[in-house]
Amino acid sequence: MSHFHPQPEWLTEYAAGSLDWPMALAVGVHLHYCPACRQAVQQLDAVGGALLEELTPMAVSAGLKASVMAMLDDVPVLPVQKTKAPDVPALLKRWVPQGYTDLRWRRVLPVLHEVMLEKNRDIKVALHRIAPGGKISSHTHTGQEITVVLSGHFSDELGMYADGDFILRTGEHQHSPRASQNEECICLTIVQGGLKVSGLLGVLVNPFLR
Amino acid sequence: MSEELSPSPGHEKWSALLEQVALHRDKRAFAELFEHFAPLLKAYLFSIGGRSLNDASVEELVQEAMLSVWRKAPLYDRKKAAASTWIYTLTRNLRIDWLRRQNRQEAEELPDEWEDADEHEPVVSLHLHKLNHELNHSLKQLPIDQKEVLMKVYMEDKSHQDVAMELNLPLGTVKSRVRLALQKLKVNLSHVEL
Ligand SMILES: [Zn+2]
Repeated sequence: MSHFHPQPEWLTEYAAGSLDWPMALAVGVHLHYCPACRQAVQQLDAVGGALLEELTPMAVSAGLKASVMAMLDDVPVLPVQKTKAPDVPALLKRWVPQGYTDLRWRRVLPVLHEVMLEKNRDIKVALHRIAPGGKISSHTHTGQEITVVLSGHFSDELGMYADGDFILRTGEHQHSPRASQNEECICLTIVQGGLKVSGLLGVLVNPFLR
Repeated sequence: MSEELSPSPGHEKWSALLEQVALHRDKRAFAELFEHFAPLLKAYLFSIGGRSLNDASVEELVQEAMLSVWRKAPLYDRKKAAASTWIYTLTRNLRIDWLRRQNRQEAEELPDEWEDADEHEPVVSLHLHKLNHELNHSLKQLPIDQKEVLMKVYMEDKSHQDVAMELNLPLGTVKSRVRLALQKLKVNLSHVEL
């Protein structure tokens, strides 16, 4: 059971489909761990379904139905879901098909490894692995950073975080995160706002951002 | 399940048709679903992120959505969602993928679709049943200003911030209208409210 959740507007925008992709990824990964937010999103989805029925229908062109009907026989049967990595949220399976240990972790620091999932000039989506007891020196943020804990724990001046916890950091926060002594901590990290951003791990990772 | 706990009583028909498609690959049932939902999905997809898509592109997305209704019908569970909700979430996910493809800087392949199937809550709460049952009625009772912002957030792909700018309202006002509307619709967000 998570104790740190996305704010209500984010859950609403997630259900409405208007949340930017990387944020939607972070919320979706949080949902994997958080029954309370899943129930909330289920209700928010129901609102979407009801609103869909309130739209004024727009006639589709005459041939559309026939052409869709003609395609039905060629639609492949839904494949049975393979659950090779049951602890990995569905949204991450495209990058983590077999579990976290088999990934190609790149060493950033002795206590910190990274796998980049997506990167462009506005945003960086990565997995981070902090060694047991590993400590990241104190820093602040100039942009927005979201961290979702995937396994293990870490703590900072503001709290202690475990599986599924959703942590949003902006410019006002200063902290020095540290993994628990007994196990490594794996997190999904989303850093927004371009190269000037320094995130949870950003101070150390930034020189490598290029 | 007792009669009054069924989601949206008027919509039993659509659930039954989806089950026909799931169980028997019933094309007649699918054709009926198409006639009802394709024009709604077209209206929904017409306003993606304030961009004006041309008619052909919108219909291409409608086609994709309806084909995925056909393909994924075996995943539908009427205890969890009204047919309109299930079709809405499928189409919303397609829209997320479509926008992602548009926003990409490099021409990179995106083989996987946005998939949240396993994130759904297996336990169906009594609260959800009650909400589903009363939803269509409570939507009609919403004050016009609350319904307007809710429609924009959900159906026009706009963030709270976008809606605030469009309606020339403070962001706080938009957020509180959405929050009040959701309260009236009995959406329970108590665990994330301060
Ligand atoms: Zn949560």
